[in-house]
Amino acid sequence: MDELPKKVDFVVCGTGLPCSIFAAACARIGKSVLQIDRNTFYGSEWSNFNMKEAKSWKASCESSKVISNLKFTPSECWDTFEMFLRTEQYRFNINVDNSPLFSTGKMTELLIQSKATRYLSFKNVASLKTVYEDEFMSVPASRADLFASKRVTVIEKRKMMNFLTKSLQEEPSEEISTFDQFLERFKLTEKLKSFVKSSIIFSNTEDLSLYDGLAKLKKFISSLGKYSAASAFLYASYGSGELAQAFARMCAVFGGITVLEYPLKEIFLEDDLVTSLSISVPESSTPHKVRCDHMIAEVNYLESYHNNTEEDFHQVIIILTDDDLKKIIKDEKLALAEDSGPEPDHCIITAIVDGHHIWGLALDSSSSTTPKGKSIVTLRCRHKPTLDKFSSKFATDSLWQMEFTNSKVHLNDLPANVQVSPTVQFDPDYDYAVSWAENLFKKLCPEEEWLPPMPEPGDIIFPTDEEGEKKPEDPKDAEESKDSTAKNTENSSQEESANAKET
Amino acid sequence: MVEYLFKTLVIGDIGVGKTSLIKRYVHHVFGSTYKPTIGVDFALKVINWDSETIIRLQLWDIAGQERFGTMTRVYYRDAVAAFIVFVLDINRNTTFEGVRKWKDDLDSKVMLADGSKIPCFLLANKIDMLEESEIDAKKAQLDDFVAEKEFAGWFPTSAKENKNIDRAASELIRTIIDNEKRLSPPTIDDDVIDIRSNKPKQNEKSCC
Repeated sequence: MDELPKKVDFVVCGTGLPCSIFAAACARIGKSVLQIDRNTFYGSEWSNFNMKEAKSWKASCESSKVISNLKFTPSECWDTFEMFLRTEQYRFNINVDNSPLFSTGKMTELLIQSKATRYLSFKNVASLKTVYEDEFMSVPASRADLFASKRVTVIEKRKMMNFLTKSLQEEPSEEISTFDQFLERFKLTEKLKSFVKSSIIFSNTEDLSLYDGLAKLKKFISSLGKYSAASAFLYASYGSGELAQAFARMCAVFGGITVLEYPLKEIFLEDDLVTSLSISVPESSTPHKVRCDHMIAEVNYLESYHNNTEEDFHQVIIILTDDDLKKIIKDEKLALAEDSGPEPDHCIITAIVDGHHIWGLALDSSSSTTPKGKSIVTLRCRHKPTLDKFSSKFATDSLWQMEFTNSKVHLNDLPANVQVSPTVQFDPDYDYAVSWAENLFKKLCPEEEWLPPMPEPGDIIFPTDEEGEKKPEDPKDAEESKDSTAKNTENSSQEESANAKET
Repeated sequence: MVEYLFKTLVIGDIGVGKTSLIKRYVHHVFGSTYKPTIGVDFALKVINWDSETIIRLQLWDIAGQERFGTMTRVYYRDAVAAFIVFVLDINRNTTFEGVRKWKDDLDSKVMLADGSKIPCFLLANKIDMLEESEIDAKKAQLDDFVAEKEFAGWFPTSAKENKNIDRAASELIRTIIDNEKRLSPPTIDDDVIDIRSNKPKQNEKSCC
C-alpha cells in the first residue's frame, strides 16, 4: 500500500455531508486534501447503511458526542437481518439523517452546478401528508390538491389559494415582527395555519421572525412546480446518505485521498496553530503524521475542545415495517382521509402534536431503501415523549426500530486554523451544509471557483504516448494535463466505434 | 433504433493498467508513463452494435486515490457489469488475493434487479510481458479460480499491444444484453427525473 501524504493543504476529519462537500470543493480546484474518518463507513451522522452494517453505526455512536441514547428494537437487531433473504439483505438502506431536498434548494442547485448529479438519481416526493386532529390527509399546497381536497371548505380553499399566491407579494409592514402576526393578516383558519406551519414552513416556533418565516415560505413556493406541479421536494434514490458519498467520490476523482478507519490520534500545535496531525493507521502501531495548513473537523474529532452539549437537540426514530405503506397509513388509529389522493408510495409526513412539530419520510421500495413489501418511516421531533407517542401509530407491525438523539455540542475556542463543521439540523434539506462549506471555501480559497462543473467524459483528451513521454518528470506536467482535460475535443470516443463487433 | 446506456466498472489494484485499458479501448491510445488518474470519472464509448442497436458504454475508472480500499457506493450503484483487472505473476504461486477482495466488495455493493451478481470478467493484463507458454501454464488455475469466484470468464489482455480488449468488451456487452432480455421487461422508471437543467446532450451528432 502506498504511503499517505506527509503534507497537505487541508486535513478534513470526518466524511459527513458538510465536510465531504468542502473536501470535494478543495480537491476540485487542485488543493491537496486528506480526508480521514474514524468509522468504517462514509457519512458520519449523514450516513446510510444496510442492517448488517448497523453494528458499526452502534460502535461509532458509543464514542460520539453528537449522537446519544441510541436504542435498537429488538436490541440485537443485526441478528434479525438473517431473517431476510440474501437478495433482500442488501436492499436496505437505513439513512440516519433522511431528508428530502427542496427542488430549488441550495443542495439541488449545487448538485446541478457541479454535475455531481451523475452520481445520483432523484424522484419527486409524491405527496405531502399531515396528521391533523388524528386524521391523515394531504396538505393542499398546490392548486390541484386544493381543488381535490374534501377536508377543507370552499372558503378555506379560497383563503389558502389567496395565501399561497399573495403572501410573498405582501408589503412588509412596520408593526409586524413575527411570522405568526403575518399569518393573522390572511385570516386563515386553525386548520390552514397548522398546514402552513407543519408542512410548508416546517416550523412551529412561536416567535419565528417574519424574515425567517418568509424565507422558508419562499423556498417552498419557489420549489413547488419546479419538477412537478404537485411537489416541492425531491428525494435521492437510496436516501440522502448518498449525498456525502457523491461528494467523497468527486473528491477522489480530483485527487483527494479519503481513508476510512483512520482515527485522529493527536493534534500538534505551535503558537495556537495546528501544524500537524497524528493519525492512527489500522493494523499498524506507528501512527501517520501529516503536516497541514488547515484542519477542518467534525465535532467528534475535537474532543479536547468540547465544552457542553447544548439544549438544542432532536429525537429521531426509524421504523422498518413488514407492511407496505398503504397498510400502515390505514391503521385504525390513523384514519385515512377519503381525500388523501392516490395511494402514496412515499410521502413526507408532518404533524403538530401538543405544540411540537414532527416531520419525516415514509418510504417504500420505490425509494431503493427497502426491499419490496417493506416500508421505512423516519420521524423526528424536538420533544421525545411526543415523538414516542406519535410514532407508535406507525410501529404496530415494526420489524426493526432504531432511535437516537441528535445534539449540538459547544466547543471552546479553537486554534485559528481549525474549523468545525455543523451537526445535523432539524429542518429539512441541507442549506446549512452547503452554506457552511461554501462560506468556508470562499474564506480559505478566496480567488478560486466554488465547485465548477466537472468535465464531461467526451471533453477529456488523453495525451498520446509521445506527448506523455516528452516530459515525464516535469512536475508541471500534471497541472497541464489537468487543464487539457477541460478542453473540448472532437468525439474521440466515436471513432471506429464499430470495433466491438469484430470478434 | 434502440439505444442502451450501460454503466460498467473497471476495478483492480493500483498499477495493473486499468486506465491504460480504458484509454486503449475508448481513445485508441497507449501511454506507457504512469500517471494517476485525475479528473476522470468515466470514459464513454459509443458502439454501433448492430443495425438496430446503439450502445453507449460508460467505463467507470476507480479514482487512483481510492487505492486505500474505501470505495464509495455511488461508484458501484447501478452498474450492470464489471472488469476486474490484475497482472499475472508467473513467478509466484498466484493467490489472486487482490482480485478476491475486489470481487467480494463488488458483490456486496451491487447486484442486478433480480438479486443476482452482476457479470464480471477477469482481465489478466500486461501479457505482453509474458511468453505464450507462460500464459498457457496458468490457464487451468485461472479457469478454476474464475469458476470458484463466479466470474463470467477471463481474458489475457494487453493494452500496449491491444490484445483481446475489444473481444473482452464485446463479450461483456453480449452478457449485459442477455441479462437485459432475461430481466424483462426493461423497467423504465418513469418516476426518475432529470434535474440537470440545460444539459447539452453529448456526442449526439454522429450516432444517428
